[in-house]
Amino acid sequence: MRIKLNNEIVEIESSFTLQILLDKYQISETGLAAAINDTVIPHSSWASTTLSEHDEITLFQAIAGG
Amino acid sequence: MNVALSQPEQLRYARQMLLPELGENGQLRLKQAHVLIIGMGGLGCPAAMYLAAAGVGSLVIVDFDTVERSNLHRQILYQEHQIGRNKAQQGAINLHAMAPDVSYQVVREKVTADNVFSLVSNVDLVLDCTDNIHTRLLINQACVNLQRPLISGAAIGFKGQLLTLPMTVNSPCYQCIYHSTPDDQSSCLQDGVMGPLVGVIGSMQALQAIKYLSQIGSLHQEAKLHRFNAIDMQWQNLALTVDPNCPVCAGKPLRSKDAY
Ligand SMILES: [Zn+2]
Repeated sequence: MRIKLNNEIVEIESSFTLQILLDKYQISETGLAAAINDTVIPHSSWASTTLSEHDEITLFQAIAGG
Repeated sequence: MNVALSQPEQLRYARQMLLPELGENGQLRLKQAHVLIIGMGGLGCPAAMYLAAAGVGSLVIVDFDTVERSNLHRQILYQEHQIGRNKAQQGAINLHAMAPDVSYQVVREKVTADNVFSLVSNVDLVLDCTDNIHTRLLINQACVNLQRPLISGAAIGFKGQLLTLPMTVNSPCYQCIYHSTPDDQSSCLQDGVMGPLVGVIGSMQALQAIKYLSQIGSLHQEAKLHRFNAIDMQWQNLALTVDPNCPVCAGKPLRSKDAY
């Protein structure tokens, strides 16, 4: 199925959880936040959150500067 | 404190009191409010200027650092000849010249685990305008424990983030969103930052603070994260949820109310 990952269309298996997606793309979790369809998913739910077709995933880093 | 508005105050705040959402009631709420601004750099300067100009009754401004020449492209409260002065002290002087009705308290200290709780406990609202992750985590912890609303701004390069965390029963804390944080965060020192970008984020911290204090909109109920990309001028507005396993707020009084 197709999802959007930071605005790019990617093809994944329908069984993918958020955690599997991060692992597959080898994305570092340090300082990382993940949102599905503009709702941030807490870290403790990453492994239990299954992705759905057309989900829009946003991955972004904490910013500390100011 | 005299709660009624004086004649000069009526005039000074006339254009914002004209807003039906604010009105005289909202202005009086601002006048009674105590706000803590931690960090008087690129975010803290515009945030403090707008809050002072808007008539927030009392500002506690915290910074241990001194004004440097390389700050001046973004820290717009300071003047060239003020290089070398402490930011909190000089900031208060400059703010007082602009808005003398406001009471300013200067704290020339680094925020640490020892002083953060007393700083936060004395105010109604906290603005995190700091430049490092360590202090951000300390401020979050104190705001969770003392249940003080936190408006956190951050900017680097062309990217900005604005977090509004009411610290009410169903609203998350900073670490519900960022479960782990790197030790060596990039900073303006290494990576550079666009001046007007920190101006945008700092101004929006002030805007959120004014709305929160005068009870405009739904900020009391809803935590929000706004991300801004200044290159393509895109905002993303994100809803936030509590992490039941958050290392900071799980099990705290904030989370053990009846509704939760
Ligand atoms: Zn939390």
